[in-house]
Amino acid sequence: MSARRATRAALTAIVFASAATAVQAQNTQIRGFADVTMRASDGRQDHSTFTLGQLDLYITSALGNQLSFLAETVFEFDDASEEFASDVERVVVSYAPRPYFRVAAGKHHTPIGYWNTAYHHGALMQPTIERPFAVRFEDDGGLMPIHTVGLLISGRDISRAHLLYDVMVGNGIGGTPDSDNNDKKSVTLSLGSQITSELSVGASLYRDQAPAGTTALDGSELGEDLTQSIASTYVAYFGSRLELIGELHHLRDEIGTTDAGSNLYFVYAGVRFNRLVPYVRIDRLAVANGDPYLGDGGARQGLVGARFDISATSGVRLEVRRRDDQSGRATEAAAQIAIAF
Amino acid sequence: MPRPRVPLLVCASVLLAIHVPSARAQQAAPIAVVVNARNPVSSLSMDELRRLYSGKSTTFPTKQRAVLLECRAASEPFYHRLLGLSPDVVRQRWIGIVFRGEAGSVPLDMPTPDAVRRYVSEHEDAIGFIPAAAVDATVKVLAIDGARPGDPGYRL
Repeated sequence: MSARRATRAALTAIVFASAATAVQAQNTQIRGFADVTMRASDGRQDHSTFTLGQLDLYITSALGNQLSFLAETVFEFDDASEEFASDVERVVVSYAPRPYFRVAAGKHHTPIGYWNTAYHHGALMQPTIERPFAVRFEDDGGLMPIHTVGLLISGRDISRAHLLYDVMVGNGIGGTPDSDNNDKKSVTLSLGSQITSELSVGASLYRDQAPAGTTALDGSELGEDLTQSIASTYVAYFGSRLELIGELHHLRDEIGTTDAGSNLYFVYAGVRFNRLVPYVRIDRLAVANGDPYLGDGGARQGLVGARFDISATSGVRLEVRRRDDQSGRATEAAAQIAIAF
Repeated sequence: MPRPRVPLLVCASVLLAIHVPSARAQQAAPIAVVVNARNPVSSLSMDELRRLYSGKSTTFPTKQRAVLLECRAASEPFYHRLLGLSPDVVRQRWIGIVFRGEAGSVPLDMPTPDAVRRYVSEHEDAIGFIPAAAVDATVKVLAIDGARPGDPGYRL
């Protein structure tokens, strides 16, 4: 680890330690997640391996009446630099005077679909070992804008239909936490209903424009301005026995005379037997040929697994999955222990 | 040599005889949902109560903020009857709710019915659950789906 990174990690640790001592002062809670995964694959270039997942620290703080703060910082090994790196995944300051009106500024998970706003970086919280292909993180090969820096207005539990909405304006494609590469902001509109305490449905629209010169996902530079739009819909059911999530995203990239439409979807289903949840998941990335921004990123995967909740704050998972993507076909077995602390 | 099946069966029967009545008694004891005496709410539907304790709603039907309490002594039968889930699974889901920023904290964990009663009687926005046998005049018992503890058809 370089001296600069070591210093940064030490400073981050000091910030968390300082915050911990101030916990009583303003109802601040500090929690974290960690996970370790073991994998074995029959892929030609793969070795069986142990993987240290994300060490995820998050702080929530009630700053005052109706004002709150949430921050999530992840420490993980970066394959490219071969060093541990810290990444600020969420920083959100919220003002929520009513359940039907909340305004929040900062770095959020973009309100696209169900999984992306229901599950963040703590592996314990999500139903499977890894996120579905459609909602993988940007730095993990994801195709969609999972995070957005900007302003979010949202509401929940509205009327007898228990409607929920999100309106987000942010930096979008080519943006960073510090800046954007154009004046055209990404806009996300999401509308749904928590029909019962177990069943929710919703749909969202995302639209953004990026200027020529923006780096595409395959590393090339866009030759012309890009307009990207994503239409998404989801259904999620979490009952005492059955768990179900289905999401479909239609992603359209328009650049010059090219108009490419891709479909990304997944279905997850699990059945709970007390602490044990056997489950299946099917992922599909049907990426249009010649998409100027996504590149050639088609993939499919099917997996079966089981999750065992040891306690409220710990669980183990076993999975067998069959993957077919750019790196070829492979069958993989994985085991994971995940905790919250 | 024949296996000693009969003694095993006898032991199992005795264990079941001891265990089942106590489990049934615990399961049958009604749980009361209680609020502050000044709270205008006097009844909730099962769906409204489920929404509160699964984090899908943060207010009473009157739109007043609700502060949720758990009574450790009654959480096992309460969550099984209300949500069909164990307290551990419910707590794990609540950690996720806080993690998403949808709630400030998980339900307050109270060790005894006394502690729940005391907190509810002092806080107008509090709601909790305790064994019906532990109810006294310091708190108001809510009707759930129109029935109160002890009534036919009461589901908690």
